[in-house]
Amino acid sequence: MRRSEREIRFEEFVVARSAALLRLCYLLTNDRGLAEDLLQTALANCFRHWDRALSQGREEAYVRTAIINSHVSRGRRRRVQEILTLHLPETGGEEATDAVNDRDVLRRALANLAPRTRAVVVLRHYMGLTEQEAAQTLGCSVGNVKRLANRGLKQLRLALGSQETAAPADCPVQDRSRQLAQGRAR
Amino acid sequence: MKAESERFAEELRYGLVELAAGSGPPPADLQARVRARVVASRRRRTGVLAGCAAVCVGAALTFGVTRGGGTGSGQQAQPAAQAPPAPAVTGAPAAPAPAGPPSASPAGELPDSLAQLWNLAAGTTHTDVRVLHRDTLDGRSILLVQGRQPDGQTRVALLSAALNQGNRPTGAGTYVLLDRAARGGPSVPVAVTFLAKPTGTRTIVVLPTGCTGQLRLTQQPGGERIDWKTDFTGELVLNAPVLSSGQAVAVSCEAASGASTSVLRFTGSARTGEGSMVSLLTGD
Repeated sequence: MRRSEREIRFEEFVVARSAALLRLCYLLTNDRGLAEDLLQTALANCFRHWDRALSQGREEAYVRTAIINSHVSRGRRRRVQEILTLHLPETGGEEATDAVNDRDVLRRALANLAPRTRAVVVLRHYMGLTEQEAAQTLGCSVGNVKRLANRGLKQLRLALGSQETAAPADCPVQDRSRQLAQGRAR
Repeated sequence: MKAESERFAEELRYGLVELAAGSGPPPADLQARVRARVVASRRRRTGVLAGCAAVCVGAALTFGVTRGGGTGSGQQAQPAAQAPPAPAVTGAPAAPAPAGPPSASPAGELPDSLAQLWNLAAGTTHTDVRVLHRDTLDGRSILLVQGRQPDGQTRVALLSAALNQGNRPTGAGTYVLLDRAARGGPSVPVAVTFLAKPTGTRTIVVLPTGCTGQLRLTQQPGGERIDWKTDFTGELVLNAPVLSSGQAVAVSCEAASGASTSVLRFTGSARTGEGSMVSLLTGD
């Protein structure tokens, strides 16, 4: 069966950008399976209006918006909240384990953010979008993005700090961000 | 303070990049999965649309039944069930089919037995037989039908059919009230007039297919004012009959292809029953 021009362009886009978009989904969902599901849902929704996205030349922004919208909608629908404990079952001093530990702490801190707050944090600090672009993606005002970004950073800092305070008493309490930097330097 | 905040944001960015890197590559069959989602979504939408359409048709039929019983001569409402398919008449010449049924919901296909009765009464066979309008009068079902003769001429007829226990028209006791040639073919409106003394009079103008625009009554019979309205089925309903040979009604139809005007004329005969009268108007 002959494929239409729209399908060809769509498949080209999926091949080229699916890895980056999957990473975005992973940061939003915290789970590889959910991330794949979110990406597939968003892409399938976008395919219906792909001509419009092509005509505007904003394919990636279009898919990104669909991902964020699907993610926020799922967050609203979700009945059972995902509960992640801040305490790891085991802690170790090995370098490799530290790196894993750092990622896990950040992952858990992100999981505690509200869907829109989390989306703003990821868009601003991972995707590197400006406040205007983030507002456009989320469909809200720039002021709202600023507010959500501030709230997200505050919560993350608090969560990372609380992880620090929840650490064993024999470990020196220090700035978690500094600890992250040290872990990366190692 | 600001430097600290910037440093935290920078560390956060690195942390997010590291975290995202753990997601791994996309699945190899992502394209196929997305395609399956698209197909499933399309199927679901189609199902929803079909469901909505079924609900709308059901509601329209129910409303039509209620309304038909109320505006007629106080008789039983018509059944909402669809009629069985029209008969396949053999030996008919291959001619282009007339336009489809009008947008009126009472329209449909004529039951096999009634089509054969019409063929017997007319002494010929009719192809592409369709019911343009159904109504109830004096406890009988009045069917405005359209068909094509072997010579290509379009005919319209009014059948009076008895109703069975299920309120469906039956062949037993059915006869042809009026049978006329539709000179304008199937693409012009056809009208049927009901004069039922207890409930007043009305004229139903059945529109041709594609006449989706607003209808206007551009000429009033006898110079008298006639109130009219567009029925829920898309038919034009006049609250007065057109019964004398000197009277005609011009109906303009604003369709997508442009406006057209048809003059509907009373063809000079009407059938009277018990306290009622039925006439047929065909267009030029």
